[in-house]
Amino acid sequence: MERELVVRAQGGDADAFSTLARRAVDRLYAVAFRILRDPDRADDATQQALISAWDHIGALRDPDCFEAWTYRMVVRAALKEARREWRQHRPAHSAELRIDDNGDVLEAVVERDELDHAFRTLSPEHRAVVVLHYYADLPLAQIAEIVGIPVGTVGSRLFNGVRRLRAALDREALVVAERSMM
Amino acid sequence: MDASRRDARVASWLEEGPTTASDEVLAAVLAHVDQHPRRTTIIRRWADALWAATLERPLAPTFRLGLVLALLMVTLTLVGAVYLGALHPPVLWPSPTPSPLPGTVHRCLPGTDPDQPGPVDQARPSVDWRGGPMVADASSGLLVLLPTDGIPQPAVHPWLFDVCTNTWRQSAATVPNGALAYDPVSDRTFIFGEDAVVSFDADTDQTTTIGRPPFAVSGFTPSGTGPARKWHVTFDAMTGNFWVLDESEPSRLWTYDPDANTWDDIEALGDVPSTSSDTDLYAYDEGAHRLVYYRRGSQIAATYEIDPRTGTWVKIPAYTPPLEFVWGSLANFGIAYDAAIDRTLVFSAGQVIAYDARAETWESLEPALGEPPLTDFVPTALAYDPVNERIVAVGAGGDGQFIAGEGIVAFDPRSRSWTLLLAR
Repeated sequence: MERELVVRAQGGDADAFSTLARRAVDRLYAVAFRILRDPDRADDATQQALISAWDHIGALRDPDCFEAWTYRMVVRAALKEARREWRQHRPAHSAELRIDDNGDVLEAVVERDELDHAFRTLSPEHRAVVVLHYYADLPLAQIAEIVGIPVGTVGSRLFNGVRRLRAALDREALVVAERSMM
Repeated sequence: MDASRRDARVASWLEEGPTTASDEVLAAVLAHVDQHPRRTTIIRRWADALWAATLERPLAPTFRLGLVLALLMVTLTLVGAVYLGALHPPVLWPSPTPSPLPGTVHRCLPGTDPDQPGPVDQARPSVDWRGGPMVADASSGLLVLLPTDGIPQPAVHPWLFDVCTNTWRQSAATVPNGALAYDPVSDRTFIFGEDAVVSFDADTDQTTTIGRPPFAVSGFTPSGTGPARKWHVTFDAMTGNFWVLDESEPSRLWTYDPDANTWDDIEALGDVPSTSSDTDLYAYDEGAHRLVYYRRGSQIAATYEIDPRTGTWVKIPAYTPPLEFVWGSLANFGIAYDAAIDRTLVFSAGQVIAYDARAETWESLEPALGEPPLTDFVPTALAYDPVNERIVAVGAGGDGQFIAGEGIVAFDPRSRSWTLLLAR
């Protein structure tokens, strides 16, 4: 069914593409948001990806690869958004926890805060790989194709990205344990 | 906490957050689709209209005969083309390369005239016969040039040329001497120096050290060639990475990820030249997504194309014009990709040739009628000016000897004419 829609869209059928866009928009947005951590910029990246998909759908050789191809479009658009921000305002690596000393700190809140903070210190390319693997549940070979890098590089980026996120969880567990002993 | 539990928490955390785009996104996409029909739709519409017209009106016998003959000719032409294609198969590239991301291009303010020469008495950079690396900052309408004069210095102050007012200004920023590439995504010029990779914002004069190369980029020696001649750096809009090519040993090619500060070797495949030649000129063809390499020895010239994504080199079988360089291979040549006409141009004193990477052919761009060849101008730094869509060349005087004093001219390949932007 989707293949037929893609073939029709490649032939210039705007209605077919509109159907495809309606089906894909939230899936692409979810990935863009998780890379960018910003709803407005995720909207922009999603819009840019779908417009680019329409403009270049004729270049898609295998209509069955439409889903992976649109991932590529949205990752590219999200990376463009992220790089612009990241290179000019690169977040500093920090081991400090941002905890309100006066209140009870829920473990889950601290955990989310730490993960969010650690995630933002990752480069956009590392974020994309982590999101595509852990959120979109894609295999490394497909991520390599989407991001346009060798599989080995995907593996190293995934390893380094997850290592930083794991370290954040360890710090969070340590602080929560210390506070419970006080 | 064990690793599997931590990974489960990471995955769970990623599941949190919104999963629905705002309604405006889909509305904007559908509006774009409506306003920009695909070309195939237009062609099909014409075909449908023609078919309907032939059904409505019975064809006259003579018209039918003409139609049959026309179809026969088209068939014969196609058969001939296939036959010729089989005799001369096109170069097969290992993988298709997608289109680059568009960047923002500066617009000149109303009242400015890019063809009006700048004031002669303004301060200007010094560029000796080695030539200086120069790139266009498309978003700012500035050409960024690293000066060369005498012994190459490890650090310099960049010069910025405004292509709307034809005026120079020297930046207060200190950057390493090295090879340049402009990144339209972050709107910064990246400088690959001997011991640092630095990003430079031409609008604010701010610099950020990104990392350091794992090797000496230039190797400054008083008698050596300048760094721009030795290294070629290209920004890849697809990945946000750079390709760094060692011009003195072409098989050495890296991709550099500025965000992770990592360098990856790309294995060279195919027709890799074993050594450099007397003259090595590289330019990235943004239309064909390949590096074009113009190689000139003592007698002959050759053209190579390189797909830096796969490291594949192909020697192009087409004839390559060996440009006459008045002073051998010293300085009086340059190369730049002209995005407006989708050609790579090679300059020498008074001669310009253009390479079409899609057709794999060279063409000599003779001066337009009434336009004298610019034989007394020696280009030492070249860049494509995306604002005014022409090549801008910084250069010195010629007439048989190198006459210092940098002038600037622009070359429009469409009219094949030169415009003086700044007199020497």
